[in-house]
Amino acid sequence: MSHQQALEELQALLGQDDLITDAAGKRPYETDGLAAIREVPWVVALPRTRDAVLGVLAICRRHRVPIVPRGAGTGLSGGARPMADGVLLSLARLKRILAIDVHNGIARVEPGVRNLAISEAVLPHGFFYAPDPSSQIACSIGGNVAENAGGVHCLKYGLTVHNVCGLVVATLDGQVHEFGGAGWDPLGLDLRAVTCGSEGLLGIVLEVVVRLTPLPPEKAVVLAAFSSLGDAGRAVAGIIRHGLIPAGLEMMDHLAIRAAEAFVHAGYPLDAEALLLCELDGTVGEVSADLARVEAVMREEGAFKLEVARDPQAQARLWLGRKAAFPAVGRLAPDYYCMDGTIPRGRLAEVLDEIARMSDEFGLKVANVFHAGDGNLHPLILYDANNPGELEKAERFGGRILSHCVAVGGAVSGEHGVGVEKLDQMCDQFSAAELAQFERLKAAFDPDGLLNPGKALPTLTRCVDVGGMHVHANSSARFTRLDRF
Amino acid sequence: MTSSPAQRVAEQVLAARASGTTLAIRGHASKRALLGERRADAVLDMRACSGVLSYRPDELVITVRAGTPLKELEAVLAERRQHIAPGIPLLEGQGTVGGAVAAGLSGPSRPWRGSLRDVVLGVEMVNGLGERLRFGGEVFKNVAGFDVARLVTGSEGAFGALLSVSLRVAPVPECTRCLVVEMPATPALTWMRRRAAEPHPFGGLCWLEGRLHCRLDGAAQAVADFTGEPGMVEEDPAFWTQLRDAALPFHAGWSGLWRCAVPPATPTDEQTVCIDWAGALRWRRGSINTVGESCPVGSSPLALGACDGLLSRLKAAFDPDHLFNPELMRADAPA
Repeated sequence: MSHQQALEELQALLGQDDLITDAAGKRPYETDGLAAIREVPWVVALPRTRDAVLGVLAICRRHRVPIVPRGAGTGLSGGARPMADGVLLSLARLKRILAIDVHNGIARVEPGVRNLAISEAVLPHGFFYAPDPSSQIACSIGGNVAENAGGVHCLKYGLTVHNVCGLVVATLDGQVHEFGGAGWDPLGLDLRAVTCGSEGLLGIVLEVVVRLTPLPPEKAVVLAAFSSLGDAGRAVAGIIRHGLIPAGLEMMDHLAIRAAEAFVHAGYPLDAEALLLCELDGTVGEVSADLARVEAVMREEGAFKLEVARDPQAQARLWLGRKAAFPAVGRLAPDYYCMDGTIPRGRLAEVLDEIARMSDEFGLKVANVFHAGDGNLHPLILYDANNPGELEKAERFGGRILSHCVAVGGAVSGEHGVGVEKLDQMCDQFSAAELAQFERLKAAFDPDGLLNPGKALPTLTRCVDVGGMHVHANSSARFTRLDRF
Repeated sequence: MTSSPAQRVAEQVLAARASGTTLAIRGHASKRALLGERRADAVLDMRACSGVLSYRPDELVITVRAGTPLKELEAVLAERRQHIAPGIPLLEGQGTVGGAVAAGLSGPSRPWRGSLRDVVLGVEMVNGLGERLRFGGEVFKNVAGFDVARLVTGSEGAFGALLSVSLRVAPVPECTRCLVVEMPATPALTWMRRRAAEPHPFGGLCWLEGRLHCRLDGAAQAVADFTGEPGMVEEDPAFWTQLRDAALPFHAGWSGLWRCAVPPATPTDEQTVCIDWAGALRWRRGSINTVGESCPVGSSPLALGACDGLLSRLKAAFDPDHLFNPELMRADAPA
């Protein structure tokens, strides 16, 4: 590894404006959305063109310098945590919308384009880009691909992987690959899905072809208040059982409701133990018909208050509390830690009971917001980093929640990614053989292991240390003789 | 102690690896005519590895063994008024779930309901080392680990044999309406592209033999809200099942045709026999060389050229000895 030589080549390639080497300039890049974890990068590269990106990759490969790719830096799992001896490669300056192709129903964009900017640009044509993570005002489409970002409308419209039809990806060997394109699906191998959610470990996304969705002509939002989480959970199951797939279906618990109401005064009922927000969209007649069915299910399952918003202002007010839930909860304590696990919806009440029990055990409060339609739970653990040991306690608590998600048949991350945050819990979810398969898959894309090393995949040693692998060694031994199905 | 069907598959793979025997993974062999027949030293027959493992309609997920017949899957889901939204082709009237996922084919509703790959939530598979591995799971949102479940969808067994598959299911739409009108190919394509840009509950848009076929699937009110083209008349929904299952008259003599995946607005021409997916899937006499990808009926897209660089490393990452379906992803150019 020759950093001095690499530095000279990077300076020659990028010039002063596009390479940050001074301490003050690098400071803003020391963390991403997981602010508890910091590291000052060796240098920050901010190329403006595809060729410059490829140049950076070539230099890094030649000198064996690791690369940490970064979009807008809004990720919540530390996937863009810098390395003290690595290049932080920001794609933020590749931010052109290259084409809006109405005839094919797509937009071709560079990775640094903000998520919301795509929907804004295609709005005059009657389209939107469906995945809408709550950071959509700031997060970039390249980062969305890296994390397979979701949002509140995944239930009906899918995640990033369902809305990306083409990717141009550079691997470290200097090759530029096209996965998919402007059509629906390629024939043969489809490498788009494995790229989505690969957290910058496989390649650098140079261009994204996104699928555009026609704007629905009508929307309605229903707020329903329940006196127990169990009732609200049954209402969610009832809606699905009636054959309805709402655009969004969100749940908040008592603490989250109170925090949101105190913060933004959305008119949420403070006497509710659980609140559901259900968004319906489609043709005018379809929304009216679906609305009647949703209201009936909510009542049947014990909703004691129902509010329906059919005009955009009233809808925005109902959504306001949910969208402000994280900062609202943030006002209750000096710090909060946002978790991200998925569970089968039917296990919701039981999982929330277990979280409440752990909350007592750890002595830390927790508020819950939940993408109820698709089983994605976001417990927000309240703590005070000024109290010695409390951050570590919050992290242990979070880890226990995720392990519990796996135990009930869920996953350790629904949409935030593994990053550096959930490496230990990956040992709960995957066996040694599965983790080794991931490593071989990574090596196929990145034989030298220079792309975002240390993220997303735990080493086997780490798994042995945290004890997860011990459990797995037992269970796989057992499963060799048992029908696992 | 009797071993499970999945365990027996894993044992067969280990034995084959030890003896250097290549394996052709086979279910119902229903895609021979479309993708060609796989040949190897021995057949890895998946049919015994069959049955529903869990079905939770409220969670919108079903997990089945890979050898489960598609017809059985359809029947189980239909009891709860659910289905696999993209539609899965039953070629030659049959097929297994594992074969369907390995082929990665989606039905005519793909542009509006997602692809088969999109509804694959998780798999258990045996790789070329004989290891049983699980990827993904039974939940819709899951970004833990690389998305191997969707990587193997459409890989035709080149990375391993599927043992079980978890699929996202969807409610059967309340109402279906099928319309047809006489129209030449070019105006039909223009019509499809214009209407596909609008928010209608389409379940299919297809042009075949001078006729534009339009399918609507959705809430009764949404379907009723759709205004078609003057001259459009109702038709039997059976057309769409036959299109999905490649059972229309034109499919009978399709061995000279090419399957082409193109940007949907790509202009049509005299060689085009059928336009599906609102333009994105074409059946042609001859390949399309300008845009998109083409594969002749009777061949696998994974057997068309030599496999090098990234693709050959990927194959080696799962199946280093080229144990499975050895004609696919070959390092040397096929003869």
